[in-house]
Amino acid sequence: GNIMMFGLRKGYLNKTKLKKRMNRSYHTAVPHILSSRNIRQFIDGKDTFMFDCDGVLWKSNNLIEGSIETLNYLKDMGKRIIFVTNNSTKSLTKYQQRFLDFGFECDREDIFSSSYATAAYLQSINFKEKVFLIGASGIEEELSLHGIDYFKLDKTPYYKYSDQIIDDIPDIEVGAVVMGLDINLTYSKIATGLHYLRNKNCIFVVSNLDYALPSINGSLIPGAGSMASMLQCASGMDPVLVGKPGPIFYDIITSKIGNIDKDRTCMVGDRLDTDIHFANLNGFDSLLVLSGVTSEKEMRKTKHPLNSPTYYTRTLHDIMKFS
Amino acid sequence: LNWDNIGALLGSVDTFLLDCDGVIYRAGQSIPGSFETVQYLRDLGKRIVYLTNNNMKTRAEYAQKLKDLGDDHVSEDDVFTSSYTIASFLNDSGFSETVYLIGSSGLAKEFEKQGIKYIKHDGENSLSVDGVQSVALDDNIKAVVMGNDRAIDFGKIGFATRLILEKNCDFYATNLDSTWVTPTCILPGTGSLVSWLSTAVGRQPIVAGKPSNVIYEILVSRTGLNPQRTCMVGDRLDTDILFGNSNEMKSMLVMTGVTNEEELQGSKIVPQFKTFCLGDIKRFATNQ
Repeated sequence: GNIMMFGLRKGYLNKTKLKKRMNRSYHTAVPHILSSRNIRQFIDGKDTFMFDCDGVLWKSNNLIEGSIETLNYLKDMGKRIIFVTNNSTKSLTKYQQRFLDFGFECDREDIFSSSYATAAYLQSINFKEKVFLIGASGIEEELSLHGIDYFKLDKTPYYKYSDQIIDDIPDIEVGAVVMGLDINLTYSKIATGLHYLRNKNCIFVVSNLDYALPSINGSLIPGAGSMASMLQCASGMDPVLVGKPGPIFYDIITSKIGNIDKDRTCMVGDRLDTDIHFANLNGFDSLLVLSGVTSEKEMRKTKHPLNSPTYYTRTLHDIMKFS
Repeated sequence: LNWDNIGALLGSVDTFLLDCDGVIYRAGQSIPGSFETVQYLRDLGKRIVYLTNNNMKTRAEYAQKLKDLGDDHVSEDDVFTSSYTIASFLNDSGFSETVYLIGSSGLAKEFEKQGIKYIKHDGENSLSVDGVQSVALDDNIKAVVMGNDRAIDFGKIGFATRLILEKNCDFYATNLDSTWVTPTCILPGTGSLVSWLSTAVGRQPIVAGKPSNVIYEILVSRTGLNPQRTCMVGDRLDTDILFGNSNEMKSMLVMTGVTNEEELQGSKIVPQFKTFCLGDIKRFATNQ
């Protein structure tokens, strides 16, 4: 276990396991379009459906038409429904409430956010030190629930002279710098994170690396990945990625719900380099919906084999409509 | 560098490009021997040009800083900052629209001096997360220029992201130094801040400062230097030395700044000359 190699501690995930996982064959066929002709075979062939949320079920605060009906339809057929989202800003309780408000009942145990996964990961490596957190309340709540000690910088003043930034950094032994989406990100927070990362024993963990997010008006705004890149660039360190498409998220999920039959599992998402990559990396089918950030053109153009989905369709509602 | 080869070097160089932080000064104080070398080279008839990736002062302010530190004869025309460079480049290319600026007040002042219209968000007019997404984008803004901004926030980067992605604005950065190294600490540099924007838009900016060829073109047009008779002296391998080597100049690394022996040994970027400090040039030449 070399901490710096993947920023991972010994005994959690070793290099051999990772290599094995990556050599597992992924399909190289062209994505199949879902239609009324193959929908029965598709649904009957799956017991477990993992759903990304943004761009699949809703866009910002607006439900995508037919998404909740389709969830209920699959649930009524006895399918296992799990949510796997890279969003780190909301706690599981808030997510559960959101689903309920929209008309879908589920257990907290079926919801996996990158905030939950980040805290669960730290717990799984027996992390007992202090975390310096740059992120939102979602991660804070999960860290607290998992008994992980953390602190944040809330209000950072504007410093006229750079030395003042260093003088104000809390003199604490920090074992990990953890980053998620922080809409109140400041120069001081990055400078502070950089300061702690200079200690060779301090690890760098990010909830997710989504570079941009869809905005209200349909374009893109900076995501957690673009924020983390600042610290990556300044420190020269690659962070441990907890969220999709990293292998850690999958391990966190299965350690909670037990082993799943990969041949009968399907990941439904709207992003090639996170959702689809996640499915391919871990060896199960994926369904790309075009209701989010990816267009059909982009899907066809992708050069990375791990980013190519098994199936694609316009919107989640199609599953119900075709059958 | 030593007393053996200094003669040949001085005989083959007309222009010395000097990086500043880590070469001329460090932590607000001049490095012993630096200005003595500067004066010595001037007395030999050499052209001295200060070439810094600093983007937080205007050219005039930076010249004044050098004067205060100990160069009595420096003039504005001898100083090239990355802020001056990007503004000059835009003017040279006939840019006549508005720029969205992310950076210090010094960067804004430089743009004002060079007559380039800009919009900058700070303090009262900074955008909220909702504001970023709902604000109408000004059609007159045709370029985003980013320098070091310690008051960086989501509003600025979000607005710039939308300009680049929705309005296809050109994207420039003053420089990409990833860190800002002082004797007491390491802080995020302009390059680290720029990565917030460049990763969000999936595009690298056109860079003004070292080691880009933008600054090279500006230097040649403003000073008429001949690269083969020019020597770049700096303390950073991935900016100063790379700049010198890429443009057929002689390059000299000094060890009074950010680079240590270990980094030098492990680096693919190799300076032509190496010496402890700038003061060595006069020392070796006058055999002291």
